[in-house]
Amino acid sequence: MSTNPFDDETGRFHVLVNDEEQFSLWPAFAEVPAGWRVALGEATRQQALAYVEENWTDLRPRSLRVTLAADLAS
Amino acid sequence: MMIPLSFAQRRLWFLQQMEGPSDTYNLVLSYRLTGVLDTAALGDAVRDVVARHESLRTLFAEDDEGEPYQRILRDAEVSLEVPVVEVDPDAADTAFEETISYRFDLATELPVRVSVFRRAPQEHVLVIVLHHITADGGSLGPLMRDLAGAYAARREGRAPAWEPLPVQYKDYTLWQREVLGDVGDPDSLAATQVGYWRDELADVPQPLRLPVDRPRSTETDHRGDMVEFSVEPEVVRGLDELAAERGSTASMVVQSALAVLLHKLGGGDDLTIGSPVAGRTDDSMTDMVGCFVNTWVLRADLSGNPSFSELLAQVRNKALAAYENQDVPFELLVESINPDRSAGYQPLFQVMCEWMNYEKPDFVFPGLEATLVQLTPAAAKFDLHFSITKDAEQRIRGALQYPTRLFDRTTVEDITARFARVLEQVVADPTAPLATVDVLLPGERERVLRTVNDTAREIGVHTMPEGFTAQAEREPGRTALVYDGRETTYGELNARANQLAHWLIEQGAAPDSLVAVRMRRSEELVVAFLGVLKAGAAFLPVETDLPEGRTAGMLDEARPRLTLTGELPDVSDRPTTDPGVRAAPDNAAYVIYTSGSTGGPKGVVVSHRSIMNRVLWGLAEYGTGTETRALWTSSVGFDMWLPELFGPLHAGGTVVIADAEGRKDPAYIARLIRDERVTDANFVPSMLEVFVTEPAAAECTGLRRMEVAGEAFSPTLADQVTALLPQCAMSNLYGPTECTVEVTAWPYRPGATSIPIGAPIWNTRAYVLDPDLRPVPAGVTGELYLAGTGVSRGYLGRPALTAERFVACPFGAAGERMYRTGDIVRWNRDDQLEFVGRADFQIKIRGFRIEPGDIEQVLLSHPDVAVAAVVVREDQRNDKRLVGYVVPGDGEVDVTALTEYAKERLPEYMVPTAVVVLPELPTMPSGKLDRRALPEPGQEHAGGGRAPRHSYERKMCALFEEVLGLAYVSIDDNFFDIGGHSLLATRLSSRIRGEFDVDVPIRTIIRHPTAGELAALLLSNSVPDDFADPFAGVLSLNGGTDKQPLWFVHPGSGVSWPYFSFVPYLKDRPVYALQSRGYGEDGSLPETVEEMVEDYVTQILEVQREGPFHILGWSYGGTVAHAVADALDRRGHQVPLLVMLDCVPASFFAEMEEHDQSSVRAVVEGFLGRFFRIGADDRFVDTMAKVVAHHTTIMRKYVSPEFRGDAVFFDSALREEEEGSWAPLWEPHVRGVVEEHSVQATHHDMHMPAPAAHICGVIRDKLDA
Repeated sequence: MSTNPFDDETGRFHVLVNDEEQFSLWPAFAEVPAGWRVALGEATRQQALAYVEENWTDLRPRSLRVTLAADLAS
Repeated sequence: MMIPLSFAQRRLWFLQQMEGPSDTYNLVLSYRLTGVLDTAALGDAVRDVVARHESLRTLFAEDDEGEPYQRILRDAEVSLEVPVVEVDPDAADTAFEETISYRFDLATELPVRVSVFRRAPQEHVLVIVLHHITADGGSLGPLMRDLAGAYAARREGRAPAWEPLPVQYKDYTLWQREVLGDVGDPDSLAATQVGYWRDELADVPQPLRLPVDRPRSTETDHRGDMVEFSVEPEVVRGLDELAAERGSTASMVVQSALAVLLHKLGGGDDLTIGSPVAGRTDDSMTDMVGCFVNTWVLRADLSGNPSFSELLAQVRNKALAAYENQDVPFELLVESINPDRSAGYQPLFQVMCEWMNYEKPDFVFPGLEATLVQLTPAAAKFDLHFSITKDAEQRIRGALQYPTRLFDRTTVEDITARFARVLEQVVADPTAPLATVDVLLPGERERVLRTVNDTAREIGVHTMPEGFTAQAEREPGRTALVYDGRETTYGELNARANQLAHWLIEQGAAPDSLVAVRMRRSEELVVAFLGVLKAGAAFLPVETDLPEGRTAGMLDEARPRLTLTGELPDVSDRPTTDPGVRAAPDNAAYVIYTSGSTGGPKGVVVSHRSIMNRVLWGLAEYGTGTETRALWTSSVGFDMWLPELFGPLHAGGTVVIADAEGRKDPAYIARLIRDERVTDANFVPSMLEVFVTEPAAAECTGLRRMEVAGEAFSPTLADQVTALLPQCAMSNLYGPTECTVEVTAWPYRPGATSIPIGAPIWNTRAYVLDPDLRPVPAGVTGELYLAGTGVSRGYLGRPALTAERFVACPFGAAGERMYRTGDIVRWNRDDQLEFVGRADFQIKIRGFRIEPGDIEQVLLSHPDVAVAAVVVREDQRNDKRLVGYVVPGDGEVDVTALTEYAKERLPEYMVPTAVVVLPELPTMPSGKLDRRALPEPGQEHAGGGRAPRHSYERKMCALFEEVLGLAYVSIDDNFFDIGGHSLLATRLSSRIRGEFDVDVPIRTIIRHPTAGELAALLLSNSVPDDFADPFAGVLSLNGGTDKQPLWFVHPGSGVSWPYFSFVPYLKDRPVYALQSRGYGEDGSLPETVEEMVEDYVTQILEVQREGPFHILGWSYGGTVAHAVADALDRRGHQVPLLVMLDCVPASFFAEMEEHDQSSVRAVVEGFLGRFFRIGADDRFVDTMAKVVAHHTTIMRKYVSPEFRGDAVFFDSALREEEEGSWAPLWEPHVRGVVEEHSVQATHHDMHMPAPAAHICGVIRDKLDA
């Protein structure tokens, strides 16, 4: 079996983000799916994951964070 | 001089030895002859051709050593008739089937047959059948030329006037050896070329994964069929242009395209394809009939997403290098490289690609018009065999031959269509990356993306506790829980959960906050979970038996706001009304820790929406309602329990709680199901397996439905359940924790021969993708990705890990995520998913996902360990064990201490059952761990295997040593791992015949490749008269040392063979076993137990003159051992150690039912039948039945004495009867102390490796003390 493209230590990757501010590792060879934008351009796997680790500080989807914040405020 | 076989001949000869005569290697040449045929002239002409080519009159004989040689018949010795058969004028070509599928016996028959079928006076069909050992594709031209020439001459009444051939095939044979030299000589051509191929093919993954309809098996059924296809002329033009542009050949383009196809069909990016090379490297061979053809293996590297042009350049270079190294025969290559061998597939490659250049026929039968008739023998040599020809009109015509045991016709038709698609695309744009090549046929994309995933279902807005709360308010008096005989109503449960919720809210619990729950299983635990949910918070269940270290690590990471542990707080003064906090569907409902492929255990955060989707689907799918009485057995560490508990509570049903100790005990589970009238239960297959063997399980007749999940569910097990509980429906479910419990399900249909994991449930989509993230066709394996409502939020506090597993989904709504499971699956024809395996090495044992890497990390964290590897071994079928292999650092590793260390840090199911210390870990040339070279635990000493234990094994090991030229072979060494190859196996087979007078076919050697296994086979099949050893009165189980021996007393069967399994653990002292005389020559049996004891004491004293004596017996043998110990003691000998394995005093035999010999025979047959085939008149079984019956009878009259010493008693913890330990029964018969040990085994399995190791561990401590 081939290596899964997400596990390819030698591959080139993007980091994608969606409207819920959820992050996704994404192999550079593949087309970026609708609803996602490139947050980090082509990088090594390690760089991409380090970027995620640094920038995705709250794993809750954005809409939930907003609701929870509104609940707290009310 | 004996003429040896050429390498190609040897391989074909060997195949016949292995499989018997077959038509697999028939070559067929057939022409329709229109006009007046002179059949007499044709017959003479055929004989002329046979006279001309020695290869056509060569038989293959064997010398005394089992070595084959060419026996070339003199021309005069040959009598070959050409029969003329009248057939119906309209007879289809199938009339020739029998002729073309003739099975040549190469030892006694000419490898050629010629027949003529007469359809009409002027219409004949000439059919020539040759065995491949005598001819190849390149022989057919010369053969027909010679035949036509001879016919022309004979028709005119003269002999053909051809020059004799300058050389014959035998000359080639000798020349081949001369040129190649000895592969052992590093300067030889053979060694140089083998060296090239060894490097080229090192570590190639085998076998190739193909979209088979039925898995490969070791059955050698070569029946085959063929699908024809053609390629559009414009594609052929493009192909030729591409070949010309890139300086390659059309055949290289086709090979490259085939590599792409196989890659797209799940074959990975490192794959092999075989191709023939003519092998006629000298002009003198051109006109000869004979087998010169050789095979070369293309190893294509498709990694890194190359373009087709790049791949073609690679293939071209490899083909040129192969041409340089084409002399070494493929057969020799296989022997030298000695890859992993299996009877289930061809070594080194399984797909053959044959390119045939069109040649205009250059022969004429005078007065006849000859047209080629395509007859293909119905045998398939390879898993897929592509034959591709360009005809005179420059069209490409292809044929794909396949074995019907692997493929259905439609699958192969699809493969040819996909091949044509690949060719079109790569020719059209050779510079595009291969990732863009698509093999889906029209309509398939729609089907695998949308049709199979049409699961959308409106489920409304729900959170976990609301269904329960509504139910409690509607019918408070209904029973919600049953535990330990106590019932809790919905009203009570709701009130208590509300009180706890109020308290939790006071403590700060709120939506999206986390409360850890670490409590014993009981109603209280349910109160805790409901309380947390009613407070709007999420719970983190922690198993109470998890080691402190792991629990601490988990809590440290999850940082719950609160932890409920031990007893619930006193909240009796809080209001019993619902606190009215409502979590939103996207708030977290729970966090479950799971072991994943990377990074240790991690918490999966699941929302109410996700879990409610699964719960509501289950309620609808299984009709759960107020009548449901569901059993809750699953551990809270394993998310299967969530629907198990919350489903019925949502629907007003009753949940019966299995207690913490009982939930793994099949007898307890069966009683609980029966007594509590349980209707619904969940099982993991390994638990179900023990459950069905539990006698009380048959009484679970109220069981209506079973959900099976967590690991592979076998049809055999399903059949057993159906037979036991025909009223009970079953479903097989699958799902990773990350996608909320289960996401696919398959309702079991009785009689199913395979059990898929099914189709996606509500609001779930399953995508099977290739490494380029493109959907694969049905039937092709790929990695499973899941999208939909069940996809959880991610891993708590692990952003990077979440981002690499929960990834952007290209197939769903904008911005959607999908989870990549790491599971390899495929769609079947019914749009159900079949589970194939794991993409990584993560495995499941007893339903638990286990990541060896996590365990390795723990072992490595021990200061004494330098290197660690953890693997799952299945040395015995269905017996999966985790084994750790460690290499010490500077000092030594104490295995016991290391195991303890692991136990403190890992959950029980992740602790290796054995740890083996090695000086270094075996590796493959690539440096990767060589998993198959890791020794089985307990056998890592003495050069990696056990020494022979009895004369059969000794002889067999000696034969191995002789054939392989080795100084020492253990009984565990695999013939093929220590230098053996198929041809040496032939010699071994011949030597076994010489030595034992028993035929052991090579197939058997391949299946049972160790001396131990082969010896056992010989022992069980037929025991030659001159060999009385296995039935000797005193059987020596191992070699002697000067330590005091240990004596085993046979069980009721009278034979002590089961004790062989104890020997590996008792290597440091002699071990003897007493056996019944009932198997001896006169078969006399003692009249009484006293007589038997007397006899045994005498025999013991003959071997061991004086004490101290150490005696052990199992079952009936234990009762006798006790009596023997007593008798020795009364004679004044010391008996410091008496060991009794699961036995009862003599008086208990009187209470047993008496059985006659025939009913005993049935039992014996059933028992032995598990191990080997038994004939109706098997004398051995008769004798055993007689011995067993007699032993029982005399024991009924005996009274166990009172032994004056101590005894060590091993009691079976898994005994079927529930009467407690048998150890106390012995107290009246042992004056000293009865020391009791409990063994995790049934009575009958006490001799299995794990219990034997346990028992011997205790014995060794006693003996060494």
